[in-house]
Amino acid sequence: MSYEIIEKLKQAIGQYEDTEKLEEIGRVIESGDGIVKIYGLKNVKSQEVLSIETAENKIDALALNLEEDSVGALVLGDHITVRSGDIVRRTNRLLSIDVGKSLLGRVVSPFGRPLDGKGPVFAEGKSTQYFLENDAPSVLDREPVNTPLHTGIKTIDSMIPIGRGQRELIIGDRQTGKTAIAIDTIINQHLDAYRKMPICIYVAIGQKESKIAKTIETLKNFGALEYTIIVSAPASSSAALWYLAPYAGCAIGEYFRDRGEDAVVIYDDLSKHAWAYRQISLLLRRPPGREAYPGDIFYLHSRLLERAAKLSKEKGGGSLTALPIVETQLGDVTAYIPTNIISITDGQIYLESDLFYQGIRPAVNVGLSVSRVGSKAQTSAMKRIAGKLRLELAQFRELQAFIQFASDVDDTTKKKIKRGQVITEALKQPDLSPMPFEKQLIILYAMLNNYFDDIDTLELPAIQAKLIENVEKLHNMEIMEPLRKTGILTKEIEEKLKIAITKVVAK
Amino acid sequence: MNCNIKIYAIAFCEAAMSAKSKSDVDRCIKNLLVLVEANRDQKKLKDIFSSVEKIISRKTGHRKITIESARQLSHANEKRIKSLIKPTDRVEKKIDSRLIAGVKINIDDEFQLDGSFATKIKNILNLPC
Repeated sequence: MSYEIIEKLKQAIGQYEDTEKLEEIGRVIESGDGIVKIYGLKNVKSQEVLSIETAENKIDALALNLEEDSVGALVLGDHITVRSGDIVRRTNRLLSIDVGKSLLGRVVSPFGRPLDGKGPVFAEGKSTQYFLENDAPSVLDREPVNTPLHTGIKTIDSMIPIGRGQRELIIGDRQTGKTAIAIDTIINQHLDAYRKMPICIYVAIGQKESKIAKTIETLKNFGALEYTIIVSAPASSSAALWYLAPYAGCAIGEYFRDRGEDAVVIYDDLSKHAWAYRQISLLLRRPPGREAYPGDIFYLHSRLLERAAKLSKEKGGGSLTALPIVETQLGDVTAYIPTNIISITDGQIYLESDLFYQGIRPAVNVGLSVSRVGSKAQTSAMKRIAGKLRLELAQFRELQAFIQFASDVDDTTKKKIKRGQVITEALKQPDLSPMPFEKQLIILYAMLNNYFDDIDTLELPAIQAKLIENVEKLHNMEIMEPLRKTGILTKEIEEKLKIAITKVVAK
Repeated sequence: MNCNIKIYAIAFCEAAMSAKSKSDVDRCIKNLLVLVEANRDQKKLKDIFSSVEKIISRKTGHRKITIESARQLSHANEKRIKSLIKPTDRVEKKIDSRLIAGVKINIDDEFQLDGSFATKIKNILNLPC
């Protein structure tokens, strides 16, 4: 053992190149709360990584404020050991993270260091470095979003479809099921056969470590951790880690996107990201704006989300889909950060507490939710079947006030109310139960072609389960498999489906 | 009146540089001390003088060179180093046994040439094995 150590040391000494050069240095003049003020370093560049030589070790810092006589930097390690007078050197490099396929199934920090206790992520020389801050793909490198990303949630896949390369915001109050939608989306990816399985990246920003641990366990139990990467910046970590975590997750996603693969990155949640950036900016004494956020709070999120794209075939055809999550206070979507991110993203899924407590879960307010990509991100079967679903639900919402006086309305209105109730009940879905899209098609077809109209809403969940079971066991090759493969509802499949539904409902 | 260190230093430098005699410069120093006391900024004095040093250094082009060595430099080495320094530069010598061997040269606290043995050992030990 000691022989090995001696050999390694001999190798290191032999390879050591003794090059002394005149280096630019600075000195720490102020240090506190994770921010250092450095005198000197006149030629330092913005966002450059600096190296602070403390008494114990070297700590990295990120140059953020370039002032006339000093540089304000964000300490990327243990800021308590930094003292006034410590020497700071330039490294002439930008912040980057090691990326590669070995990250799959791992939990890492925003610097790429493993947090799951499974040892180093990469063997030496087997990783690529990707910058945390990177330019978004240009217009010419992109193509329109045209491939669906199925979440496994009926309400979303039918009325608010998400495409690969899109940015869809998930917004709502606390405890309304925002993370649940994200986790269901991740789990559903391995149920979506005949489609390229996207790599999922879950970025946990400022969350409780117990919640992150629970999420990891859930993904492991559903076999989803194999294709998922977790970037963790828990609540106990510094504001610097909260600030960098989304960019690290995005850099990992870009690695797969640039190699022609599909990736989905979930930022949970960007409200905490904005708080961390506000804290850092105020400590750097940048002028506060509205709600004490710095003036470039919009740019913080726009440059992150613009990196999600569908690349053209010339660039490999890969995609990076972003699902940012934002927490509102008391349902206020008109607040500063939510409105900023709504204006950046290609649509939003709005979750309401009222719907949640009424038992409508997922608590999606279909009226306020939108997907700006729309049916271009749907299979032709789903487009055909679910085309009128939104309209039916909108009509039901208008008539909801009459539910109390159901006996005083005409038959047409009664039918519409009953229909709306059936649809609302059929769209409910338990947590951690994503439904593959071919099964969704069967349920939606039955629902929208009046097969469930005479069924009591309380019996609907059982009927749905029975229908799926029946079609799966008896008609898998003639209905499920072609739908799964092609996504097209042909006349033959439709006829067989009608017969199957009629048999189940009649029983 | 709340003044920062830089403002004190710039004001003093401009007043002192426009002084015509040594007694005027002495009067400027005395007035600076009185002003700092009046503003209760005595704690900033050390930084103010440090800042004045840097401003004068920048304006006159005279550099402040700090030579740190592990032990007293030999005559030959000292001559070699001095040949690289301009006559107008101010040279300060320090002995720091923690360097073990070699020399560390600091120029205006902005540039550093570190040839100390301690740093080389540290760099070797930081190399990936």
